[in-house]
Amino acid sequence: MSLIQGRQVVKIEEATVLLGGFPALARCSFDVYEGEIVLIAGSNGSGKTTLLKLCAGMCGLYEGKAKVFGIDMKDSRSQVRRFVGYVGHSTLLYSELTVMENLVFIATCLDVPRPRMLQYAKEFGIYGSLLNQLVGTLSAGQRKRVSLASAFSRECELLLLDEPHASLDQEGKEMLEKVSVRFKELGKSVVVASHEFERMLALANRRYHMSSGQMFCE
Amino acid sequence: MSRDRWVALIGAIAFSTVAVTYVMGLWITPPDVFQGNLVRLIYVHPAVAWVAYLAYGVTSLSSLAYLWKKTRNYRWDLLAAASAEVGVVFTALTLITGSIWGRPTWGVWWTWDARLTTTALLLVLYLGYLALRRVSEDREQRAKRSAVAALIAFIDVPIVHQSVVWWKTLHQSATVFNADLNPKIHGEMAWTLLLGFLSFTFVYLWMVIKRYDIANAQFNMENQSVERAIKERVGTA
Amino acid sequence: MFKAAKVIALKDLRIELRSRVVFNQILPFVAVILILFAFAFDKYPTFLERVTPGLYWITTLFASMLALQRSFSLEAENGAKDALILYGLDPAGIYIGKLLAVLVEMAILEMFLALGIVFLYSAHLQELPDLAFSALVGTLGILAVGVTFSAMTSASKAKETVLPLLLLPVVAPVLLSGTKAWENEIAGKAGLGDPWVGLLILFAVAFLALGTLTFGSVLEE
Repeated sequence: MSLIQGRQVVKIEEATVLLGGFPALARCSFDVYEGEIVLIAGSNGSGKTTLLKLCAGMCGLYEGKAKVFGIDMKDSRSQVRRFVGYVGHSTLLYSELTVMENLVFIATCLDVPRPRMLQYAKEFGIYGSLLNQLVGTLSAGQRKRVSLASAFSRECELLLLDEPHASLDQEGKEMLEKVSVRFKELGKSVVVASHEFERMLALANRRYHMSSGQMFCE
Repeated sequence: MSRDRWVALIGAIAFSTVAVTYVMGLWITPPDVFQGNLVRLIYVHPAVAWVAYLAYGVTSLSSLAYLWKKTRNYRWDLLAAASAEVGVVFTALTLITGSIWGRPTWGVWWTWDARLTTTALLLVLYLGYLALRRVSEDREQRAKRSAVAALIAFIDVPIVHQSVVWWKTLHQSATVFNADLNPKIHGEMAWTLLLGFLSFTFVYLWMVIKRYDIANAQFNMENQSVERAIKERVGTA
Repeated sequence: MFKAAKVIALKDLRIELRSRVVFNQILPFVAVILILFAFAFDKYPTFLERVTPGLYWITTLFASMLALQRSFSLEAENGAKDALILYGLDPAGIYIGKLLAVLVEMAILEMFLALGIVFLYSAHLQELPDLAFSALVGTLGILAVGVTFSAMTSASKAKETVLPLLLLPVVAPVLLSGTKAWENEIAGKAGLGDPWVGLLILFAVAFLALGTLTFGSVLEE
């Protein structure tokens, strides 16, 4: 374990999460502290996505304990969503709206000021005429950039990124890293589940390895 | 007395009271002046219909108990499902016995009478509920959603009933339940009628307990297989 | 709650303005139904005019079902429904927002439908305000239950088949009351004091209340 910096943000102990009767997480323990970047590696089906979803309050707990910002995920998991940003495999965007309309919709839902939202979009290379394009006509990488930008713009205390590198090009990956480091310095926590481990290795405070629904320190 | 004994006792009471109702209804009670032997359906038909309503009442109450956080327990969901299944069987029986009665008395298998129409809608309503239960794979999700669906059905039934009653009474002067056809009930007929209600209620109780036990066993089995799967996953790591 | 409702409703209507699925697909569907009814009752020309209220409500019911399915297929795409949950929006607000958007779409569809029955079936819709009011309240009732059921079934594989089985028996009283209310209004017999209109209002209010209260349980996995 590396040095422990501050307040504990995520505290998961021996958690088991079922997906249709299958223990996607099996007695998994996991911690995240304030102001750190945590990397999670692991093969397909090792439970990375489920772990992030658990932290985001999107799946129920079968056994064990899970607290995020002190909120018990067993009985009040819907309350955690205000503090947590999540980017998953699906883009969460409406393909029949333009990039701008999607961003404005998300900004209104989340009470994020519009200029800030556009600022983050710009940081991910989404600006100019691209904003008026329908999301359905964007490339997969561009869509990923839009959803990353919208998640970061919330500036919430904990950001969960599930395979953020997938479909991003070199430039996109660098943008992601830059913003992540800035978040870390602001005392926010970023959890990244990824195959492309080497990339963020230098930035990470800690890294974990997942296998068969369990967590191992490295 | 152990739980198994109680269940067996309920089963025995159900069986014997049905048997007595059968004998009383078919041989002891007299035929009706107007309807002849057809009147004997009165010992079955209303009792079966009562059980259907009872079953849906239990489904609604246990769904409410599941949705309410203080009493939330997965077993309420199992009970709601068990009772709805039995309810569907008894609703179908109500329609069938009603049809058998209707054919010789009214000359048709079916008529758009208020009670018949409500009962038919009740059947499809809860068939929908049971279909919804099969859609979802996640346990918690299924329990919540079917509980909401059960509440919708519960609110809907009185409205359905009111609408079909008006539908008939506002436009049709004579109802099928003609006063002349109503048999005068007294003596052993009344006792048999009462016994019919009692016996089918016991049949309901016994069926729901049995169905619930099966669902509960299935639930425990699923939990065991989950435990096994957890062990397997932990073991392979 | 009202902020969430407004955002969701505006978003849905904007998507409709852009994609025109309701206008370009459901509206023609309504027209086809009107023509097919004429074929089905071909033998009895005056019959069509007499059963117009019933046909109106059946068509409304089927069109509502399509509009609801469209409304929730938007959310199923790209996991957008997860997003609504993740943004921490009030479930009651999401419910009302989805409901309002489909209600606006249905109101426009029903205007065309009313025009259609006037032209094709020679219906006499003199008491227009009364007719419009009962149509609106009835549609609100259908959608109040429909949004809940669509949200339950939209993510499942069997969504096309389960939704009609769930929704149609529940809204049967709306079909009956709506038809009767329209018959009375067309005959000039009853105004808003008609018990059938009262039943439509009761239905809409009861299921709006239930939908608002339970949508949180429906949405969360």
